[in-house]
Amino acid sequence: MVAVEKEANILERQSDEAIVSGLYGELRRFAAVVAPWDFDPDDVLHGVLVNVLDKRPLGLVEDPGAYLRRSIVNYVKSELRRLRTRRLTIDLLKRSADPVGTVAYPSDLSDLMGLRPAERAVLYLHDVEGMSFDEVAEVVGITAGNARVTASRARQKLKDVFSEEDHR
Amino acid sequence: MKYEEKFEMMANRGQPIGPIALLDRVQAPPAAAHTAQGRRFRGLAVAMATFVVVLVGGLLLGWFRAPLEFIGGDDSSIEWIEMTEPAFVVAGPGGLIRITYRAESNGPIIEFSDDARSWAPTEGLSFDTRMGVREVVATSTTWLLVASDNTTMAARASSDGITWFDVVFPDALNDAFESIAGSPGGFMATAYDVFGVGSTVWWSADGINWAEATDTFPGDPQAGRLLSSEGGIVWRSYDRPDQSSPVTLFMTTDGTNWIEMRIPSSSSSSGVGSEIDLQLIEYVGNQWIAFGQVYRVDADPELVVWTSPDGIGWTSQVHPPFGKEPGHAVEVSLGWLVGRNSLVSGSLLLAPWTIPVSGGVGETRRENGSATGTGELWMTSDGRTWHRELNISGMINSYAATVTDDGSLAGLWARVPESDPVADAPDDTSASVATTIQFQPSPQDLDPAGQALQDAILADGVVTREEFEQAAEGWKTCMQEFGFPDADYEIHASGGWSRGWSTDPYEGESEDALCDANYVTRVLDGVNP
Repeated sequence: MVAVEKEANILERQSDEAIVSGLYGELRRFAAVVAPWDFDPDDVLHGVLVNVLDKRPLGLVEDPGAYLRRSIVNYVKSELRRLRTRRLTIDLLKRSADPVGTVAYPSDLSDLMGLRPAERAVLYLHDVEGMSFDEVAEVVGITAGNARVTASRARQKLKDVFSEEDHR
Repeated sequence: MKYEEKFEMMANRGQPIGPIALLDRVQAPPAAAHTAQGRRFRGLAVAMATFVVVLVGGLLLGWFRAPLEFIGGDDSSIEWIEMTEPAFVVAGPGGLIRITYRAESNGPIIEFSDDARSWAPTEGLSFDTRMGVREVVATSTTWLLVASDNTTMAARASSDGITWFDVVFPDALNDAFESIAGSPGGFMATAYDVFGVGSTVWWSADGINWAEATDTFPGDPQAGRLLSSEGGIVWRSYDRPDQSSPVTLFMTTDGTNWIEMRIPSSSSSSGVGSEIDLQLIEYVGNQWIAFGQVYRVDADPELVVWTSPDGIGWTSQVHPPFGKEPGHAVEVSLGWLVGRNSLVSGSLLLAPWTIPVSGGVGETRRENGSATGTGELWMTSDGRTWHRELNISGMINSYAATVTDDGSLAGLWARVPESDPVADAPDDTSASVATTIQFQPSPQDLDPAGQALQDAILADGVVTREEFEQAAEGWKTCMQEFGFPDADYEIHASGGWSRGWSTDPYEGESEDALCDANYVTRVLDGVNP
């Protein structure tokens, strides 16, 4: 019995390795886009895989790529909720001590970092990765209509930022 | 630079570790399982520390407490004093500790006061410049302060708040502080090994003599956080092994024996698929009071208050009278509770923080880092009846209340300097009265037909899927009448719903709020998928 379990574990591990190896590059890119700048993308993937593999091997998931991307979005949102008190508190004190403030990420990316994780996810998947809104909706866990609205709002936000920059 | 190019820049940031190393971390043997998870948490902690190294003392916010044995005075006589600069304030034996950061200072400035007005320097609280103050907790006799730089930790204790001395955690050579809490029965601390060989838990009855208590800890110490309370030390785990409970809590009064505090989904308005972000838990007036933000599928988060006499059986009371400003709820979502104090009368004092946010319906709106908010101070003894102590137009950074030398109570609060305080007269209100309006439309704007439909659906106390579809259809028709022919919705198996109506940004949000309030809001609260 123990030998059978060990054999099953080895097969699961091999299956997980193959899937993660095949998807690693695109998942890491996606995690890097969705997560805030001070989240390491590999740490995000790590957290996601800990949660996912705790429930089932990836071989049992119908579309591991979409499933893991959705898990990344959910994971980042969840982590942000957990950290928000600390983060805003630190921001407050930082602004008090340093009225000028410091930028924690490259200033070129400040407009993208101003979007919410789900907005970055939708815009990135549709406009950069070329997914359809139906596919994006599947990944992010919303309806295709809402994905369109989200993308539209995100573009508008970026447009507003660009307009402000143009007026300076 | 086009935003597509910026996305590429973001997507390629950092140095990838590769899939094999990643899986090695994830699938480490059980003995090192803490290591794997610890790296994850540590990665975030290190990132945050990098974000702002000298301001780690900010972590105090939300976890300070005032476990004083008050002598004389009463809650109604609190004299509130505004601090002249932003600070974190903790009440404890003999007075108050405040921690400030100033541009010219090299690290935190920690001072003590017994009257909330004059502040004296402390002794024995100098740390390596890399270290930041992480938390301060206190019992009726002992202060405990912990500092850390994410690779090492240091702790100091004091009985008077002025003179501090080193505290030694047994075998803590390679440990870095994770979490600490205090209760009348003692203190507990958790730490992770910087080389990734697990976690350690310590318990101390007096804050000075510590012993390891790892073996009896009810879970992975790195997967949760210790919370202080008058009823005992609570460990809130982020793991949810039992999906029937949306939050995992354990409580101990002696560091060894734990009871699980189970807040079931059925006792909240959360329903299936929900998640509770527990914000505060305190033991007041012989009962536990817990505050949590409930996140539901495709619905706005809401603050829920639960009460329990024993920590096991819980009842819920949604919508305390703060966090939902009538007429502005669509634009304003609840922030978080800044802090708490148990006062002489057994009341709980807390400061909810309401922040303006942006975003569409059903989205997590609080991730608007640039938003500033408003703070209020509220007091309750039972979680149901609330008294507004002071209304401040600005951010309450922190507050504390303590007994002064003459036996009276004094409190003080800090705020961000650019906001002007406006004190209102104290105001009593009932939670059930003050929170009937959740959405932007005012009552006179509501359609009687829609309200009648919701009344009919809710008449038997059960909302079936078909009835929920009726309500959603009402919303759809309402939106179409407002000129959004594409309005449509989808009901999820979890009981939540999502909806869309336009590809134009922001267009239709006020109409959606009105239609939602007309046909769906109250039905959704009672939804029973």
